[in-house]
Parts: sequence; structure tokens; C-alpha cells
Amino acid sequence: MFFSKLFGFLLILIVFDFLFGYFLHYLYFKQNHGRDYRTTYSMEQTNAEIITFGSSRGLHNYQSNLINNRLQYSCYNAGRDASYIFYHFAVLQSILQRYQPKLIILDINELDFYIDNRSYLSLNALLPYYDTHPEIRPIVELRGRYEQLKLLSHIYPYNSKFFSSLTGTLDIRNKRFEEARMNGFVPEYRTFNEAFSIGANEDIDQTIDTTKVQYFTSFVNECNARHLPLIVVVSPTLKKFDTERHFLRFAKDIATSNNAYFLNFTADTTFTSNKHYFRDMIHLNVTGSKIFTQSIIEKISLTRMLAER
Amino acid sequence: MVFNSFHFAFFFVVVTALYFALPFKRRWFLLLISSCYFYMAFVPIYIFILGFTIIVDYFAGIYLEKTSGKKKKTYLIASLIANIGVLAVFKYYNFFNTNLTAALQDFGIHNPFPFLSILLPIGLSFHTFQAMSYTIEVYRGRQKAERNFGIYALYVMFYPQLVSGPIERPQNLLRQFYESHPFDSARITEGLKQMLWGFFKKIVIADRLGLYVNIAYNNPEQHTGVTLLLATIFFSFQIYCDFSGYSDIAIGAARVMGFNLMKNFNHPILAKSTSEHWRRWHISLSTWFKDFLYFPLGGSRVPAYRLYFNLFIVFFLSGFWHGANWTFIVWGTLNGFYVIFAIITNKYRQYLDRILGLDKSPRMNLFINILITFSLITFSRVFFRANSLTDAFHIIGRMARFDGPIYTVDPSTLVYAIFGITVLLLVEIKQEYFPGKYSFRNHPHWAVRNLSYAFLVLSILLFGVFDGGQFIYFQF
Repeated sequence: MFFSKLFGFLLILIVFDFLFGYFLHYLYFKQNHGRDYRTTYSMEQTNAEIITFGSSRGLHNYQSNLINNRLQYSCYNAGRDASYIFYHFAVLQSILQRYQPKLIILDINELDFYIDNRSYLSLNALLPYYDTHPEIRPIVELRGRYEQLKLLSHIYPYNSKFFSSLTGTLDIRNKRFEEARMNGFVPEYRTFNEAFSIGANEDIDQTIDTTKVQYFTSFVNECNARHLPLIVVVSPTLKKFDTERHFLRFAKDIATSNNAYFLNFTADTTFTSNKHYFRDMIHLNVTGSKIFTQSIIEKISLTRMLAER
Repeated sequence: MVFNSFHFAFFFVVVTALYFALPFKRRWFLLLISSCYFYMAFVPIYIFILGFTIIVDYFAGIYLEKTSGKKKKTYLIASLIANIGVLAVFKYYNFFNTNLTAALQDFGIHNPFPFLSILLPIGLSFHTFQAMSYTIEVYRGRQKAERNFGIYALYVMFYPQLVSGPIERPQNLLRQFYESHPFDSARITEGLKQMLWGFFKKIVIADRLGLYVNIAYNNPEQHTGVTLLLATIFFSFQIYCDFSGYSDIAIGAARVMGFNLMKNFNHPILAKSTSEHWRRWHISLSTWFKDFLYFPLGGSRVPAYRLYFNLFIVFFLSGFWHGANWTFIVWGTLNGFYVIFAIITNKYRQYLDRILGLDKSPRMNLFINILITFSLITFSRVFFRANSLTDAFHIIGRMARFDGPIYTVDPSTLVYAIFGITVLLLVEIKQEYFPGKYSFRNHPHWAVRNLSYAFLVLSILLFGVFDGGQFIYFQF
């Protein structure tokens, strides 16, 4: 009797999981703006010639339209807040399944190399694509030993995404049009406020995560193997770090030994100590991102990675 | 091995299945081996510390029963020293040493005592108190000494309540290891339902709130007063759902196998006074302090000044039990002050109720009392959660200014948090004021019952925070 009741309950659960999962899948992929929509667009739709990758610094620092206007190459910013090298590599894999861009810009920071559990948890962003993108499965499974088991549920991939999916389908304040105009770039209009400013992680644990290094190396190797020009960039920060960050040496060695360019802006005096360009200690505001993007464009022009148009 | 993990899910299913498959006389052995495995999943070597205290208390119990007078007292003291000694070394040594260093530095003296780099064995405070309750009750003649070493070891190590309680009493738990507990589908269903509710509270509510609380409390100087106030309120719900969620899972898991553990929470959010809060919150700990400290000090049958002193001692030590940090001591002492103040001002508050007409509006009176109690308890939790006293005072200062916008980098965190709190309050109010009515989980129609269970499971999948980490009270 107990087991038959338990069986009946499990059956109800499976049916509801399937039905709600189907509804959530529909809602998620119906979004027309927002960060999840941008991830879908990056992985499944963009055919831009230049793609920029990065976490929040990547997302807010690289003005795609400026790159497009100056270099005459289409550009899309595939950055995402709180994403790390695993995410960037997954999106790159999905893009390369469809076409080959002409230039990749990868913005990196210390959390792309140091031990930090959030990097694995943030792979939550890729769960909805697990079924349809086999190339990203090994990366998603980095989240945990039992991830494949959890993904038997049709609801689980949309964990914590219901509200954002709902708002992503509603065209509030014409966000859809505004976002489409920006080609992935999300401008940061807030100005620096001394009292409330995200710190520059000065006390960060600098123990290297070898899995992250492996994926960074894979990212660079993938571009090199396809003769796809790659620029690895470390964005400027308001304050020059007092302690030498050894991830910089790591990243530079790996990048340059695989024919990638390495640009480090952390000591660039145009930006350091210039509060007017920053939203906080590590993110440029819209004014700063314009100047920074122009610097990147100049470097691209100097290296002649792209044929002039 | 944390409860909210697949590892525990497999463990629970396997152990429960084997439990019912085995003849009843062999079951205690299975539970003992399982409990050892459960404990060793954290830090294996610390099983030896647990083993040491088990051996000491097992023999202490036997000798306490056999002896009398001064010798009996000596055995009790030896047992208590062994237990408290282990707690003192692993939990409090570095705290005392840090304070000694600071004090000696003021006189230009170097502290010769080294700091120890040791991990706190998980659940140490809990199973230490549980072991002490056994020896004290044997000493008092209220419990017969357990002669079966394996059964006694199981009493201390019983896995559902090993790491975060409830802190059991020998009179309740020991005898149950000798009872047969046949397979009972109604009892198993009740146990599983309680576990499911515990998982919902932990994964959907506590861990979701924790995302916001951690952002604010780990960098308080970077957040506004309004944000810190919201985070503090969230923390009140977080710690309740985290700890009571754990207790529900523990009690439910034990119930599946036929064991009845003591109730640990009784809707403390709805307490009408701070004294009542402490009768509803972490009941196993508060009754432990009442029976083994407060009453031996004289309880309330003493002059007023002595009563206040007894209460102060109990709350001071309760705060200290929670952690080797001044923040916990301040938290405990503040709650003691609340209770003492309430006793002193009882007549005046009743007079105030009459003047304001609140004695004629029981519902309004109830609501105001609940709100005031919740506010006082929540305020004290600034100290419980803050990383240091400096942080705590900074947070209080900022909250008082009530400045700035609310931190909302991810609005969905707030939406899910409010959803979880709403469900919690509806359930708590229903259980407190309408017991037996409007129940989905116990509805006579099977479809309504199953839909309500399915709602909880699907909510966990959709809104739960996986990898939310350990339960808060594991650190104690």
C-alpha cells in the first residue's frame, strides 16, 4: 500500500515536472531582452565578425557599436555578469559550431584563474542549453557530481529563472529595442560613489584553480588552431593593486605562446586614479568604456589583425 | 555529509531500507555503523574525539550508578571535565588565547602560549551537551546507566541528530533503541512529509535569503542602511528556516525509522514576548540550560536580584555556547537583558496596555506584541550574524540612519525571498491559530495531499538554491 501510494505520487511529480518544464522552456526561449536572451543570442543567433567575451567588466567595458563604426566590422558583446572562463569557453564552442568570427576579444580577471566556488555555481546560466548543445555538456557538468541526475528534471534547468524569464518576455520601457541597438553592450550610467563601492578584491585568495587554467588554455588553443585572431585583455581598475597578481603572468605566458595578443590595462594611467571613468573600483562607466574601447580599437588597428575596410 | 545533498539522499534510502530489512535486534548495529560513516564524511579523524568522550561517559555512567557520596561526585566531575575540556580545547582555546594576547600586549608582555590550528569537530557542542545530560541524569538517579556500549555510543552518535540536534535526553532516546519499530506506512509518510517541509525551508527560503544577507553582511561598509535593515530582517527568517529546516529533516528521518525525537521549534516567529520566544526556539537547548544550569542555580525560587543574575548567567553561557566570538556573547547577553527587562517592567507594560485600550483589543494586542518581539529578537541577531563587533556596531549605526536605496542587483532574489517568506508565514499562522483546519498536507482527499507535496518538490526544483552549503548551526 505504501509503495503503491509512493509510486502514484512519483507519477504525479513526473507529469507535473514535464508539463511545467515544457512551459518554462517556452517562456525562457520566448524572451526578447535581458541577460538570458543575450546568452541565447550569443550561442544561437549572432553572426558578428568580432565577438567580445568577459564577465561584468567585459559586458560593461566594450562598446560594440563603437568597434563596429570605427573598424567597419560587425561586433557583438557576448559578456555576462558573474560569468567566468567556463562560460566564455562554452559560448565560444557554441558560436564556432555555427560559424567562425574574424576576431575574438577575451576580457579576463583574477576570478578566471583563482579558486572561487561561485565560478562553478554560475554555470547555472548554461543549464537551459544542456539538452540542445552537446558541446557545452562537459562544462555544465563541472557544477557538480550529480548534475546529470538533476538534469533529468525538466524544471531544474530553469531553476531561479522563472521571474527573469517572465520579465524578459515583457517589453517594459521598450527595453527590447534599446538592447538590440546596443549589440550586447550594457552601458553603466552610474557614477563613482566613494561611500558605496565594490572593492578590488585586494585580499583575494590567489590559489590557482587548475581547471580554470585548463579552460583558459583550451580557449586560447581553440582560437590558435582555427587561426582565429585573439586578444586577451585585462581591463583597467581605478586603483593599481598593491600586490602583484600572478594570474597576469600566467595568462600572458599562455596567450603569447599561442599567438594571441595580451593587453594589460591595470597600470594604464589614463584610467588609474581617474574616478570619472568608473562606476566603482573595477567597472568602467559609459564615459570610461568609450575611451577604453577606443584604446582597444587603436591596438587592433596597429596590429593589423583585421584587413582594413 | 549535509542533509541537502545527493550523498545524504542515497545514504538515507540505503540505511532505511536495510534498517527495515534487518531483524530488530541487529538494527542498532546498522545505525551505529551508519552514524560513524555519516560523521566521518566530514573529517574522518575526529571520530576519535567522539570515541574518547563516548568511552569516558560510558564508564562514568556505570561507576556513577555503582558508587555514592564523594566518589560519585568525583566521577561526575571527571566526566564533565572530559567533555567540557574537549569543547574548551577545540572551540574556545584560540578565543581565550587571542584575548590573552591582546591583554598582555597592553602591558608589553609577549604571550607564550601558541595558537592551535585545528578545525572545530562538527556538532561538537551538540553531542557534548547530549553526553553531559546522560551522566548528569545518571548521577541524579533519573536514568539507569546503559550497560551496552554499542547502544550508548548510538545514543551519542545517532546520525539524524548528531551534528545539530535536537539535543536529546537519555530518558527519551535510549529506551527507543530497545523498541522494535515495525514498518508503518502512516508513520513513514509523516516522517517523509516533515523532511520535505524541512528541505523546502532550507533550500527555498534559507539559502535564498542567505544570498542577500551574505552580500550585505560580508561588506557592510559598502551598503546602505535600508539594505542592511532588510538583510537583518532576512537573516531572522534565514536562521529560523535553516535551523528549523535541519531539525525537521532530522526529526522526520528519525520518525521514518520509528524514533521520536523531541520537538525543537514551536513557531517562534509568533512569540508574543522574548521569554516566550525562548520557550519556542531551539527548545532542546533552552530546556537543557533550564534543567542543568538554571534550576541548580535556584531557578525563579530566589530573591529578585538572584533571579536576574541566574538569567544573566544562563543567557551569557548560551551565547558563548554558540561561538567563540564576542559577537555571540553580546547576542546572548542582550537576549538575557530582554528577558530581565520584561520581568521588571511587566506591571508597567500591563498598565500601558490598559491606558492604550489594548487589553480590549486582543487581536491588535497580539499583533503588536508579536511585532515588538520579532523586532527585538531580529535586532539582537545583528550581533549573531556580524563578523565582528565593529561590523555589528557599524551596521546598527547605518540602519539607524535608514539611508540610501535598497541593493537590488538581482531583483529575482527579492521576489523569491518574499515568496518563500509568504509561504512560511501562511503555514506558521495556520498551524498556530488554525490547527487541523485548511490543511493541504493532511487533506482527506488524496489528490489535494499529493498536489501539495508536488508543489513543495517543484518549488524546490524551481526556486531552490542548490549548493547553498552547510546548515548555519553546523558551525556550533
